[in-house]
Amino acid sequence: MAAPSNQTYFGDVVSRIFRRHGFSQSKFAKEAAEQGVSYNANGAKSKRYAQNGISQWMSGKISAPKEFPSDLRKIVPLEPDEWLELAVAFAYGQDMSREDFEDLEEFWEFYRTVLASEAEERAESEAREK
Amino acid sequence: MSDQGSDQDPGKDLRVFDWPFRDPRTEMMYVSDPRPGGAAIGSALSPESRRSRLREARSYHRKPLSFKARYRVCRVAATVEDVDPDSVRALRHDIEAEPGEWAELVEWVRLEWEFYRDVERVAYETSLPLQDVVAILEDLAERGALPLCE
Repeated sequence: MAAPSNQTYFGDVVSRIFRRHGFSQSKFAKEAAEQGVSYNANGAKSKRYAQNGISQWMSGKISAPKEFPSDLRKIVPLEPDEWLELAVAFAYGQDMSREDFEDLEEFWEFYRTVLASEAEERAESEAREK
Repeated sequence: MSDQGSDQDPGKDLRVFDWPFRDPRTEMMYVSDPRPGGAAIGSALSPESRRSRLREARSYHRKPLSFKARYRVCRVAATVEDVDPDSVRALRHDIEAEPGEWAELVEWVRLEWEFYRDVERVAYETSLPLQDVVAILEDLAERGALPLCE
């Protein structure tokens, strides 16, 4: 198994989107600034361009600003599934690794199945007793 | 596998499952929804780490309103800076709820602290996870039972 990266799941999704569309963090920050959208070194929106801020969101050091997904979509032509994955990763994946995100999804699914199965057994048992 | 909670209704037991986490740094995941809460504990954990995470999960299960998150992802704390304050808070709840279970550990940490006065060193000497040591020290300090610095 490959060693888990230090990026969050959100960072991982953004990295893949950038790679797929020929962007780097600095290229994105530069183009964003040219379109009047930019982020300072603390990741807050400002008139100053800083690749550093984007890097900090992707490693989970600070939260990405809420406008970031829609700003990214203005600059990078996202496919519908890319947009969906970005939205989910932005909402749930900023404080955990990709590996943890996948494990959490799997565990959640497994646990719902366990509880549903127990509820069914209890209902059958109660029906038999009547 | 389930851990009987304080409520005797089997429908409200905390469910605990061994889980082979992909990320070796992850020790536990707890989900509060759907109810009752369920915990996935890393299958490769040491007995001390496993015990710590079970106690933590027990607190989340007992006091859902104190920990409102739908899920918790708990990772190993390699240094004091890594220790999650919510983990410490959950363990402190457990210390208050189950003093008998913790008595020996509390005394051991108190004695080691008296000698070393360093959290990470106490964790090393007791083989306890850092979050346990921090929770115990905070509890002792609150009770005025922590040896004062000279």
